[in-house]
Amino acid sequence: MAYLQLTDLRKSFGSTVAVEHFSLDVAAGEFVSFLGPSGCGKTTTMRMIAGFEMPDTGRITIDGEDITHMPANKRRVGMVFQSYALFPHLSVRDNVAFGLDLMRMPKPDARKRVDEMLDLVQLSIQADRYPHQLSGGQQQRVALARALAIQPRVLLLDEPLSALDAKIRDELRNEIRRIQLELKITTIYVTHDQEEALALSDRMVVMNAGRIEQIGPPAEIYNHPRTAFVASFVGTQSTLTGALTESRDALNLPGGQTVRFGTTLTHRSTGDSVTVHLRPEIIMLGEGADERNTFRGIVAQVMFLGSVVRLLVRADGHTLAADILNNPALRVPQIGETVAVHFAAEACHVL
Amino acid sequence: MNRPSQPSVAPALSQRLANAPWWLLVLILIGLFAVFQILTNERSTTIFNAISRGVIVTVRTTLIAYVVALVIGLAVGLARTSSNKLIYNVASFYVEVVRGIPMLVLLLYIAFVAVPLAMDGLNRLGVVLGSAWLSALTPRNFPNEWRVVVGLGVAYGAFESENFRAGIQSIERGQFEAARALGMSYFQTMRFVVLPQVIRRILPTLGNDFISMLKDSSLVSVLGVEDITQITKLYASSTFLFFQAYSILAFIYLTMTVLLSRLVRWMELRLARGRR
Ligand SMILES: Nc1ncnc2c1ncn2[C@@H]1O[C@H](COP(=O)(O)OP(=O)(O)OP(=O)(O)O)[C@@H](O)[C@H]1O
Ligand SMILES: [Mg+2]
Repeated sequence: MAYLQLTDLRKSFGSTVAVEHFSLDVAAGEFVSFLGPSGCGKTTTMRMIAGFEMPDTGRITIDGEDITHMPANKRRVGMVFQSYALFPHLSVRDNVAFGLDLMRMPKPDARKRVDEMLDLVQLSIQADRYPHQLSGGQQQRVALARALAIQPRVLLLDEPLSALDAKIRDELRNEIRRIQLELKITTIYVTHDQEEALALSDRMVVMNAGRIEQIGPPAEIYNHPRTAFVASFVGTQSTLTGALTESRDALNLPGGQTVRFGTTLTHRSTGDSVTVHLRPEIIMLGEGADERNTFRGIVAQVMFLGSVVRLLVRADGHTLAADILNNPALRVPQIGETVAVHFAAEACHVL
Repeated sequence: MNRPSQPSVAPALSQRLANAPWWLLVLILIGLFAVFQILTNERSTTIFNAISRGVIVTVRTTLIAYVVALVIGLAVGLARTSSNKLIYNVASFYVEVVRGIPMLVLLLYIAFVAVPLAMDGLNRLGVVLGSAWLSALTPRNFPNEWRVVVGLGVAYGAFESENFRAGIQSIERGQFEAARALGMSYFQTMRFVVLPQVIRRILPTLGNDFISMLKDSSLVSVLGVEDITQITKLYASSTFLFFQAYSILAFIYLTMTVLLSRLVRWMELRLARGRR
């Protein structure tokens, strides 16, 4: 039985349909992220769960209770905003205690809870400061502590890290996951950063233009994208499009070259246009053995990404991205150099 | 870091003289002269004593009307940010009507039209309810000073409501939503999250409006309320000492407003320093 259940939600603003046919079951303690391009309806969906938007149709239940039309302040849902939204006139401690005072929790208990929360987000020392005396990362920790203090049934985070710089972002990201696992709190996390979603989630919901494209664990989304949109949005991609051969296990590119993809597309017919999606990590430098697909081309760009070096190779009018693991002993090809790249037929993802 | 030290050229004396607040000096001199006159010239002393009886009336009507204006302003300001269309429209009607009528006309209208009408209404209500007290009420039961308070309060209520509305709208949406998610009702959100921030932001404006109101309270002399302006008018026309009487009147207003605006300025600086 799902803990948080969204059934066929739809929300429009005037003539814009922000979200439609949105159904999702979230298990208790699960971490689910919504991933998608700007304007795809992530925030709108989250705001419907929080009670800040009313769905046109559909149903939302938490633990079996229908909350579709319940006012936001009765839902006991924790919310963390991109802009922190701390109360500037209250100290850190009072910000965190805010929801507890409302619940009429006895003072000593509330104090204990606040201390626990500040401890959890490692801000005990700053308890008596005011929000404007804290860094962005610290402010977001306070916001997290404030949302968690009321022991919400569901925690909602809307791009909580996008206002922070890269280093703090990674640190806080891991922190959020640690706390989430520790408290076993059911969490919805909105982001348009695929790396964040892949790193944090138990499951991901990839959205596009108000609809769900695919739901699944990160590995499944990454390795087995079901739509071209998911394939291209998650993971940088090279694509090769051509006509299906007679054997239906390869395609002919317009330039004449054949790409074999290791499966037989029994449900497609010869001559159909098919596309293979290639992850950069499966494309290797050098000539492949006989059963592999090899392309020869010119290095157009070299990007040093730290643990890997990404090469963009132009071959027959196609651009192939190839990652090679970084290694100080390695000689990295230069821009303009002619190289060969290859990839295994089985590594092709055909859509 | 080897920056050449900033050459400390003292601004030329002539420039410093040109930039000095001469207006303040002149004002202080006039003030000193006025005080000197009031203390030493017997006639001026008499005039001053006569007029300053009215200070209590001026201050009292202004203070009470100001409180009325703040209460109206807060309520109407909240109504103007309401998503309820009826509440919004009723509030907007009030604000637009009041802002479009000159203060003097508004005071006359409230004193001579609105109050009698309201009394009439109460009389009718008294008949319906069978209350002898209500049906016996006449406009005479509503002293002029009360009408003044209602008039100034209603007029300034519209201005204050605009301050509150702008203040509330300047608070970012996240503040409302964070409060709601933590379990607050609409009124709790306003009371504990929004208004404390709004008041911090609009306090200087509220202070300046108090000063404006103190000045506008001189209009109540047309209703015969014995504030300092009315006393001066009566005194001057019976003694023909126009110059001295009106100079002392202006001096009294100026003293009050200059002191109050210093106070507002001080408040502003304190708020700016503790800006959160
Ligand atoms: N209050 C509103 N009024 C009108 N249109 C809205 C409103 N809120 C959202 N929309 C529209 O609904 C669509 C979805 O918006 P939403 O904010 O949910 O996108 P998002 O996925 O969160 O995007 P982003 O990554 O930019 O935050 C957009 O087309 C947006 O313009
Ligand atoms: Mg958004």
